[in-house]
Amino acid sequence: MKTLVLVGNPNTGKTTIFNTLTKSAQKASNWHGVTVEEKAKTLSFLGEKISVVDLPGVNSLFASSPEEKVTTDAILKYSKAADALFAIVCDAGNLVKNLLLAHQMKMCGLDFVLILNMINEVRTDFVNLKNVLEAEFGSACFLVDGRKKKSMREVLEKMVALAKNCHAKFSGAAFAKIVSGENFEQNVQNLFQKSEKLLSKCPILVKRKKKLDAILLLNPWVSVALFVLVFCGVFWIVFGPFGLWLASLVEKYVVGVVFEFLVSCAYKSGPFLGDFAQVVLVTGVGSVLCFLPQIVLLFFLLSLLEDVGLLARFAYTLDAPFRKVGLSGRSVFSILSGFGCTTSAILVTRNLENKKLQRRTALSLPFFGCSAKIPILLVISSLFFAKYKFLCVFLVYLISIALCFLILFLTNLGSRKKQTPFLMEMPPLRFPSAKKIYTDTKSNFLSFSGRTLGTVLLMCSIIFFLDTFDFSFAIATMRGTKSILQTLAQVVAPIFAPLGFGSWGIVVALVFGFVAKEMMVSAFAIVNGVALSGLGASLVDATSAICFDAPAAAAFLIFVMLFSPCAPSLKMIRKELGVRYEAFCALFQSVLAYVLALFVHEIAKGNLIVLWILIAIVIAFCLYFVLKLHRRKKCEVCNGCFDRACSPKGTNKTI
Amino acid sequence: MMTLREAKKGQKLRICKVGDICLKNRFLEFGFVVGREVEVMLCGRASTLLQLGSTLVAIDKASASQIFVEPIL
Repeated sequence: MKTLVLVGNPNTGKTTIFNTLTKSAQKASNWHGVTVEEKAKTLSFLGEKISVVDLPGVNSLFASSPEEKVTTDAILKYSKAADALFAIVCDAGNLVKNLLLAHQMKMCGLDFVLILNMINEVRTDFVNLKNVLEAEFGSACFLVDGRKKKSMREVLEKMVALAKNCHAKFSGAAFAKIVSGENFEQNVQNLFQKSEKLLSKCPILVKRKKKLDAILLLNPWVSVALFVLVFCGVFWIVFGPFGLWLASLVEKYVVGVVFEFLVSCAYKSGPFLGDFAQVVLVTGVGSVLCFLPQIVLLFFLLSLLEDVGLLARFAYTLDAPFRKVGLSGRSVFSILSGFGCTTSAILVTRNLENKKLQRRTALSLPFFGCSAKIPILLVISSLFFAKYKFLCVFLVYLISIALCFLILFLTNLGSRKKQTPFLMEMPPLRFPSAKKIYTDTKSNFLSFSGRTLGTVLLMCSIIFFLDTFDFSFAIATMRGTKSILQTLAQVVAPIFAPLGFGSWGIVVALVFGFVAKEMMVSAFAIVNGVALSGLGASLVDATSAICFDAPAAAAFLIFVMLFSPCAPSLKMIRKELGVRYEAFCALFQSVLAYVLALFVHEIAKGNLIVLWILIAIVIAFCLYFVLKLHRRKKCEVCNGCFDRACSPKGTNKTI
Repeated sequence: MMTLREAKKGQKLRICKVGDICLKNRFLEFGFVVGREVEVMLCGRASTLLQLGSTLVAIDKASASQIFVEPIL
């Protein structure tokens, strides 16, 4: 089977081309480091099976980050396959830099074709440019707009024809020399000069929106104000009247009409099946489905921001404040993905400069509430703080984010002078493409709903059976005994009694929330016997029955926001950082959530002594970190940083 | 000769030397090589924004102080 391997600099449109060729919906965005893993898809083309591979972006064959290592390893792997052809995707507007990789691959004896993407953004003599590049590299050169299917089909046809007897002249020694970085400076300098000389024969004029950049970037105040405005706007649209109106439409027509019809059909088959359908479909799946429009709206707005290229500008603006807390401007990409899904955001941290930065960013992500927490936050806040529900959800997010930055700041005090180099290419500002935003939102929606609704359906069925039967497998309500779920949950429930929600029903919601956050609202509704129609009234009855008052609701909101990330996120932390950090994250988040929820509950009840204790604890922590900083030893090597790794043992001196 | 950190907004410069900076190879592959022209677009508190070739590149101040440049007259 022939293989086409897409390689190239970051943000040159490799994934866009991959999606066009294979009709996939892989995440592609207008910032560097979106793809962090090798992705492959097989397609049938002219009666032949072709495998197309998309790799993370690299500037050269010298790999300095984990995702770049993935690419160099893959290049080495495919260099041994004679029917694997490399396609180097270049941004036509930044060819001098992009050709470095092509030069290095030519030095290694690898066979490739050049794909000049985004030709719609440049003005030049294209025929001349194509001839110049083909003469220099001895390989085919294609000028394309990666988003257009027609042009990509022609290119694919030609590439497939070229994918045979490749890499006959491949030199492993030359490859190893480049990858190791030997004599790198001299080589890179020569190759840049070569590219500049080559392209001087064919000048390229780049059409990009520099004036808008000047307004956005050259005035930091405008940029910061825009950032705050944009994110308050996103919150207002998602959680405000528009988002709630969309949710009410789903509740009225999908749950109220379609699901109720299905339930009535199920009741005709028998009361047990009817009860099962009522609980699983209407109460379980329905309570998550009602919030799906708001989650899709969030995905849509995040896609819009990404596609314009604003995220990279925000990353630049926020680099200075983020450095104070030990993060980097590039952490912004992970954090903003974290508002969608923590699991995928942890994967994005791979594009960060070093392991310490990756660790700090990944461990801070659970503080930025993912979209799956939206349903439970909205239900509880609409119920107890109906007049201020938007403000309430916003406040919970704000407290969580502020707490995250406080912890990051305190833990960074000891190494505040150790700086991670910040180097980022600004992607060009582009008018958002409606087709791309639609594809991204659709793919996010399908992935979320596919994953969520499947899990919710399965979990709700489990809850129904555990809540219906007792340990002798008889129907609990008929015999007046406790169900399996109730018996088990009541063992754990007293732990949460000091927080005001020591009811077994809440414990079930929290436990299932650990499996998947979106399950919390369904579990909460099922075990408390809440019908979705007239959600508010039913919940009031249910919550008054389980003594869930306003202070307990406030504590519950804080607890839900902060407690341990879901199982898939923890698994991803284990994959990226190791089992030690997985355990640390789960424990730290749970303990922090418990302590803070306890304080919130007591303060909300009017116990002001607890408030003073909380203030005293915060002050004590701050003093501890400040004293620790002053007692640490200053490094002699750089006369500034406090990092033990910077200087050898014995060369530190006390300040 | 001066460092990129000392350069003023709007200045056009030529890179003369890349000093001993952390992740030096990363800077080199971005195009910070001797002889290339850069234009300073913005000098922020923590980072500097440059026009290098046809792209905008943001670098931190500490790294900027290790890139030596000379003004283009």
